[in-house]
Amino acid sequence: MVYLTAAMIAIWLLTFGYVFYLIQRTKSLEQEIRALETLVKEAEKGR
Amino acid sequence: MQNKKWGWLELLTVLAAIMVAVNFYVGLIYAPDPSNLQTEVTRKAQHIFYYHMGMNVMAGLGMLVNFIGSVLYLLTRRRFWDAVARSAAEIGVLFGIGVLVSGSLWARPTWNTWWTWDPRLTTATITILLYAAYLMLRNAVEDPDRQARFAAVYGTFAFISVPITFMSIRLWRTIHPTVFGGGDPAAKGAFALGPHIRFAMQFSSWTFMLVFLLFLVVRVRVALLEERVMALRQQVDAQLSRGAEVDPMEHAGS
Repeated sequence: MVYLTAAMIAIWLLTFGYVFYLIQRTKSLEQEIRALETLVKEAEKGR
Repeated sequence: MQNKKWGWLELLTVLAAIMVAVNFYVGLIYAPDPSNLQTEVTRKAQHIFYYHMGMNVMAGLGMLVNFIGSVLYLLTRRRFWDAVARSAAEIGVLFGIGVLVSGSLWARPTWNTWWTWDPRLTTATITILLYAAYLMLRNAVEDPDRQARFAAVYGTFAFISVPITFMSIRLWRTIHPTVFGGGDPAAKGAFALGPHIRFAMQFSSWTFMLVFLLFLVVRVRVALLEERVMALRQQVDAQLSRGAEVDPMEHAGS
């Protein structure tokens, strides 16, 4: 039972860890895009 | 209050979550302990196989989609196919590592060793290392178009290792079980599956295929967002170099 438990922990940590990574990466990229778009707009206004 | 409509991605997520939950039941409870195994430890460890197989399906699909994406990029030069190939390789490597870890946890009670240089284990390790190298090497090329072109050529050739890994249990002497096509006389580790075990294997494979599809869609979206960030950064740099009065530090914390 110990090997099955260890395997289940490893498999689902990997799977849910990847889900968590994808969610965090999406959030941080969307935030960066918003900041960069604001910069671009301000630069266009300033010209 | 925002009333967001449900799209196909949300439906795919819910369906995958339900199948993962049912797969827990199918793999751990519905599938019986194999009667031909001698000890309680090996009978329980056999349940690992359903998830090990599922991860194998994900890793294999990742490498197959990487190959398709690479070929389509070379034919069309559309950045989208590069994003697909890169995303699929990442999933392939990650779940390939999962295959090795879960396989090792199954092998310890079954083969009495964590690891052996069996042809299947060796070819699988080489394949995963090839795709890990794909992810590392593509980052060594700075120009995005050259990077995509180099990665596409590499991805096309790296795929040769996938059928070799699949066929290794048929071509060479091995102790690894042959699950698909076990009735083939050329299969060295062939064994018969009972109906419950066969169903659990198939259900697990379908579940992980669905999870793969979901991960691929989300990872491609992330890759396209990364490309958008790169394009915007270049735009900002160009505007700054043209002398537009924008202070990037002003927005660094936002």
